[in-house]
Amino acid sequence: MVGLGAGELEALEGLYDRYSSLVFSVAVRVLNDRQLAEDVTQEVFLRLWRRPGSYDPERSRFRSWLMSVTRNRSIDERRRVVRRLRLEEREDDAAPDPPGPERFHDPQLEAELAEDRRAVREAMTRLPPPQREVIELAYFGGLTQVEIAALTREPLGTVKTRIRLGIQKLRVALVDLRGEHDVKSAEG
Amino acid sequence: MRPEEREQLLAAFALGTLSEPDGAVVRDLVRSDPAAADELAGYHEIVDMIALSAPLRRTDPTLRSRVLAAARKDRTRQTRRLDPRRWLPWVAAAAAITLLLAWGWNLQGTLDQVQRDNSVLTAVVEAEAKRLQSLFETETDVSSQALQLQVQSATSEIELALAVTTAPDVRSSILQSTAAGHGARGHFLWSEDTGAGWLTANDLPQLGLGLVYEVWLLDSRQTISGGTFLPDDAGRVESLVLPLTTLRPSRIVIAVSPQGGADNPGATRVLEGFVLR
Repeated sequence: MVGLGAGELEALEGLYDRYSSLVFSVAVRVLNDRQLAEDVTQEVFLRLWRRPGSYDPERSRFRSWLMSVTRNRSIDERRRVVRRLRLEEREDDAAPDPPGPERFHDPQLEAELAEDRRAVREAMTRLPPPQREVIELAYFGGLTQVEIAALTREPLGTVKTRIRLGIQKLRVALVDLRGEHDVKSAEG
Repeated sequence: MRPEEREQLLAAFALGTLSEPDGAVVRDLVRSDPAAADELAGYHEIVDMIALSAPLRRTDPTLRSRVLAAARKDRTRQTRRLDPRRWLPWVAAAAAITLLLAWGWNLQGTLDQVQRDNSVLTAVVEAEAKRLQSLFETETDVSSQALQLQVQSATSEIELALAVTTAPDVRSSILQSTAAGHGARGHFLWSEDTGAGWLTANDLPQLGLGLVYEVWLLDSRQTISGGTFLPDDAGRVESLVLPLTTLRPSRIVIAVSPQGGADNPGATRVLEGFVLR
């Protein structure tokens, strides 16, 4: 990140090699479109290149911040496309992943992220399906509670309760992971 | 508010799934209740991890080349526009013309302009100096690497801000407050040659958690974001405006966006102005 602030292209290369697959994966998950996901990935890294100071290390971990920016940009892009094409897509989180992209095979990053990913995926899998569904529609679909209620044909109160219970369960399941991050932050 | 309802609101807010006006309720809550702010931070931590549940995918190898090529081109553009050999002769020529005009035609008016320009330059330098000072004074816990990064970033912004404000083609716009701006005021300098602008605004309304101000530049064909910012406690900001693509803006809009930026200016606009040619 320091090199990025100094305008060193090698620093951007390093960050791209380290995080591009994560950024791209989230963008694909939100957009369900490889081309649009590539556009978002490019935009995220160019923004970082032009304004490295927009990341404040005091406020969040870099990876969390990058994921948050990627998710917001992806959701914005999806809304823009939907508006432009007047599509009324139905988000189906049970659908298989879109064809085309290959699975990730970088052993170094895979090893680094494996533990965190395993914990998060396991915690998500353990959620009751209705709770997992509303959380995924909200996070990856960018839908409001009202939109989720309309889409799932469930009462708004039910959606609210499922979100609350789901997030609480994730909180309990991931408490160890958060603790590890705190320790890592303290050590770093 | 019942504890269950409070948890429901905070969890949904962190997940970004809350509609207005419930979002406003949460923002008020965390402003008035530090415990709620802590709870919300905890929910944000959880929500940020959800991204890791997306299946990892490999990017197209050509994307790496495209990103790096765009960054390289961008650096070349910045280097070129920051190269004093390129803009100093223009500054000197502009200064000479200004002096001639002052001497021969409208001395008082030109002096007023020079004074205004000086005040803008002073504001640029003061703003960045304040930022650097606060970095050293308040961020003693930050690692030296992070501090170095922020200092480098600030230094780079000073250079670019000076390039904008001294560019011969710089255009000045007064920004007018909308109803949502509640009397905010703004001033915008734009240089096409530099490809960047300098925004100064005062009395901007304070924003709720998760919201930022976003600068939008509009020309006849497109609307491009110039970046996001947060004003200080007094509602003041001095900031560079760096659109990602080349354009010749005819209008500038300052609007409220979610953190990370939006895809268009949206409904909550606080300042607007025209970039006159």
